[in-house]
Amino acid sequence: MTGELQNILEINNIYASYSTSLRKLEFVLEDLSLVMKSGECLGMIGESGSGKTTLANLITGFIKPISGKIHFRGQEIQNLSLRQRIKQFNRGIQMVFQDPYDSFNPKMTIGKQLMEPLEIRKFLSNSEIEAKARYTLEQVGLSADYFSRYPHQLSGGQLQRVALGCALIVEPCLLIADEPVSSLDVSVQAQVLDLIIDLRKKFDFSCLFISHDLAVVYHLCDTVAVLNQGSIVEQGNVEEVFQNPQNVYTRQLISDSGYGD
Amino acid sequence: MQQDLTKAEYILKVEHLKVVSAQGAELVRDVSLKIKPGEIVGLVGESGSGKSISTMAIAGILPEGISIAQGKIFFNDRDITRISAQERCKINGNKIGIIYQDASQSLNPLIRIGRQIDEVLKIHTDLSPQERRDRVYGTMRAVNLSNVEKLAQRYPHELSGGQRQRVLIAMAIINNPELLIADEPTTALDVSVKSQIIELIKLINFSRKASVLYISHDFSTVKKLCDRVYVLYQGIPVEVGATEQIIKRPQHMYTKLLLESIPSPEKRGQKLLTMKARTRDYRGPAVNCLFAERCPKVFERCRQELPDMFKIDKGHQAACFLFDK
Amino acid sequence: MMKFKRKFKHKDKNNQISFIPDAQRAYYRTSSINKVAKLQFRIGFMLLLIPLILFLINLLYRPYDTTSMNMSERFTAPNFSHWFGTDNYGRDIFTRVMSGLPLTIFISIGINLIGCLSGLLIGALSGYYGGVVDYWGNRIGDALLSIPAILMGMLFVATFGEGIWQVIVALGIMFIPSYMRVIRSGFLEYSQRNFVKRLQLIGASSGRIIWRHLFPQIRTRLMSAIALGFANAILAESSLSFLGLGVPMSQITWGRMLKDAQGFLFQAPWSAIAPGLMIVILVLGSFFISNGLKQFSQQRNMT
Repeated sequence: MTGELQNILEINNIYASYSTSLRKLEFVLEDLSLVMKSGECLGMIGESGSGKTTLANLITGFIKPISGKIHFRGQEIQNLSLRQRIKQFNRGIQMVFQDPYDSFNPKMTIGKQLMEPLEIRKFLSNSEIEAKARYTLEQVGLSADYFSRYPHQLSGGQLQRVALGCALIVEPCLLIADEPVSSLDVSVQAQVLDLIIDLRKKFDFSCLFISHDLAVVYHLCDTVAVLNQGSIVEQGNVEEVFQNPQNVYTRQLISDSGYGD
Repeated sequence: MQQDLTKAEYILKVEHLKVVSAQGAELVRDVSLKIKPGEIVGLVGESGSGKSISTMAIAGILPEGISIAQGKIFFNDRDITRISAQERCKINGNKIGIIYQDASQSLNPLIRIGRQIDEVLKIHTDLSPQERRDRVYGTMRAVNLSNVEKLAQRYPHELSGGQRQRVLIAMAIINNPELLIADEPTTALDVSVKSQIIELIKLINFSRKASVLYISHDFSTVKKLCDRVYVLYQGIPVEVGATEQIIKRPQHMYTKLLLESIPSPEKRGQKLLTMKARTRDYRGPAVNCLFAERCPKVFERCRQELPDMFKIDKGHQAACFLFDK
Repeated sequence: MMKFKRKFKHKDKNNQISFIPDAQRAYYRTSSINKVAKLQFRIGFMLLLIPLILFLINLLYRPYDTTSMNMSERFTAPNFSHWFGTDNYGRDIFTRVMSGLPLTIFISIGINLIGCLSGLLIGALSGYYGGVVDYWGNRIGDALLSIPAILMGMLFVATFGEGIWQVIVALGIMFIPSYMRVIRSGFLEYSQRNFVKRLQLIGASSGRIIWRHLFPQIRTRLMSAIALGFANAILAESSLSFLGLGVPMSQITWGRMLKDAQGFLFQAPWSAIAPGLMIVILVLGSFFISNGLKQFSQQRNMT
């Protein structure tokens, strides 16, 4: 089950909830199914409270579903812990978060934080690790002197670049980007979007791009899934969905954002 | 009607405002702006452009350690740059209504919605409790909140984000202010709620004859709402004009490139950012054009002088030497 | 200490503060807080300098013997030959205060070591793991809080007899909850941040996250707690000794001296004032330093 595998991620009838007692069970995700093809960039659109972040946490393994199955590269992963996943998959799932300042240890240099994933994996020697970290830093468009800087010395856009580098340095199969550009300014957002497009050519990964901004999803993604109140109401090719939305909710969303005409 | 005749030409006039921090960093360098009665003016800029600090200066709520170094702020022809706290209290919440960005943090979580709106009336008017209650309900209906009697008894955390923002707007407009300052009121909201709030601000501007100063980094909302736009870059307005002029025919390179970097259907999958990326913001005194280091059309003069506002069209000005004729 | 000062200073020098996501947050960091913190450090150091000098003198030279009695000079009021006067056996109080200093500080350090290390263990695990671990961690803390220090002291003295180690262990256990709370709240705050999630995703072990990533975040806070704990330990030891549950007769600590002085408080008040004053100086000094540290850590959190 290697080369010809088509679907990198398959989610079948997932139910997820944060409530602890069975009596007051409120589902955040309800009967959600999703298929993601290998190599594609899937945009996940939804308003706040629709369960976007819950889905991301579910796929990465921070929370476990109540029922349903998640297949990643053909293997069932919904019951594996984070550590088991790392053992099982050489190239696993990585994630980029919304607030770049929140996703770095404020008291450690950028370089050290970039090298850390490789240090943990212990595949490479120290000099190789540093070389690879420096190479990755260059790939995300930052000069070498950022290597020894601290997170607070970087701007939000620069830090989000480093976050992308930190995720991609371990060569993941699937990158989950949870609103990576929504806390950034317009020009900085453009810069990060350019970088993601660029990196997709250089590195080989599929991308689940979560956003509430339809323009960004349209710009970046191949396919799109619309999430409403815990279930996916529409999924398909970006251009098809945006030009000819089938679902009422999708139609409303697209007309509100000024994309329908 | 008598009052209308004596009204000032500009409801708000800011002249060469300069705001500095205790360490001497120039947060707002030289902002001049004018708002006519009934006008909706947008103040657009990225973070660090000084748009929020300018509004704080206008509203007199600058944080500790930050002060107005130069310039004057006229509200209805009256200088409100250095008025006492009591005078300020008479203006804020009464003549000037302010809508803050983060609705969940701007409301007291332990007090019911109704009482929080009522408090504004209590401070500024001497209406009877009955009259006040009617007005609270009336205003809540005016901002399109339904079921107001029940809603007034709720606590902020029981409301949705859009509802909270509406409550804030109700608090801001309950005394029929002449000027409404909206500091990024839609940033934290979903797309559908966003457009509703924009419509609501438009409605308030129309029905209550309030001028609006709308601060945002989002051109899509500015396009829908504003009559005129000021584009700010590092504490200086670089381009002023009617919304149409700015959006359709931007002249300053910064505005141009900023507009280009917004993803749109035509540019799908293409490179968005064509200007140099932002590095650290310079906070010292401005001696040359601040955009020079990123500008693709930079020439010698840009590195030596600070450009004034040059006229391009009727009401359309840009701070760029390319237009110095 | 100098290292700290330098670290804080360089941040303010450049005017470029627009790096912080919400640029406004940085503006609140005014120099006035800095000045207060610096003043507190200065006062704290000056106060702590007094016991330090006494300690150095004690190492080099003792004017009188600490134990030999001199009945002809009983209850001498402070004068030039006996700066702090003499006690009921005619022993020089200045010498006794000096020689009591090392043991007093040793006990205080021992108490804090036990409290801090155990507090770190329980607090870090509670704050990081949350859930059941946090519940039981908190219950341990609550249980310890509900025991009065004196009762614990009595228990140890009754079981193991009088001695320095009994005092250190008994009070050390009593100091666990306060450390645990500080550390737990710090870990709780930072373990919610996304960088912890990111680290978990790249396969970092819990030990690595706790020690390399979360512990450095609360170091300043912990230092402030230690400075305060140091003062509290001196007070606690004094009160135990005062009640006769502390160090044995043969040992000199300031608390022990206070207890000895209580019998003739009106006859020779100086015999109580000298050790009492020293306790006050030491406690105030470390309190000021703790407060200064706290303000610095708060300022740093704002950025």
